[in-house]
Amino acid sequence: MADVSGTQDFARFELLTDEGKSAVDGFQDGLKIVGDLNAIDQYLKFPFPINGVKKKGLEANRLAPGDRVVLVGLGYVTDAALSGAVKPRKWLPNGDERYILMRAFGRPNRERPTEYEFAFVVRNWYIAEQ
Amino acid sequence: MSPPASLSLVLFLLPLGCGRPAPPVAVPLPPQSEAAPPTQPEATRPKTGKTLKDLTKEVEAELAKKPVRGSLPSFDEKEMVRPVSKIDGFEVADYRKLPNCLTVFRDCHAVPFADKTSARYLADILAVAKKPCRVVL
Repeated sequence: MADVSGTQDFARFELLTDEGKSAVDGFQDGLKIVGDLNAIDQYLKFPFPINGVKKKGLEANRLAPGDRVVLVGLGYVTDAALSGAVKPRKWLPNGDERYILMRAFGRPNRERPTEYEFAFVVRNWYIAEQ
Repeated sequence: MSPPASLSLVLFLLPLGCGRPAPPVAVPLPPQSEAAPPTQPEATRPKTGKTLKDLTKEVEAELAKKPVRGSLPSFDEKEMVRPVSKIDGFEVADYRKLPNCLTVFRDCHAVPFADKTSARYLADILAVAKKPCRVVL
């Protein structure tokens, strides 16, 4: 975890591998290493925000920057258009209380080859460890 | 002009009852397209000859074997805030044993999409993706 807002219900995080390395930097199992269609690398950011984490039980007053938080959710693939990842000009990953959008992927849309067709999200998440 | 010899033989044999339909004889036939009407009723066709209906049933049975657990709630705000551990079929006994969601994503990305419709590709990656996983932050 990088930071928790003092006034609003969001926090910023870094996505990590099981080895504790940044998943955005392109290690094995990272977000960059698994392929790229349209230079998505430049849109993968650290830290990324998740809204609604306090409502979900994040102990904002107890945690410090660098503390590890583990969420558990259901992996899911959605239409990139539904999650705003068709053209990921905004930061990825990002999230809210419904789902965490990790990355757009898959083959490009046939009619619009510069746009992504699918996005991988983690939905129905909860805080398992903090 | 006299008829050919073979025609003469037929004309000679017809009054003797030889014009009745011949008993069925196994004769190798050229392969028929699936659109052609069956020569026998479906129930009496040999088991080895698969009809389009049989093949469709086989494909549906194979698709039913995909590891899809439980029924998934809809993609709306109310359902998506419900913790996965409270959804039937997706209970989490020990979250530490779950795969990292990065690994699940990588597995989805490894699913080939060549020669697949968009719908089929989505079904295949959903079968890989739909499992509880950990997000380490």
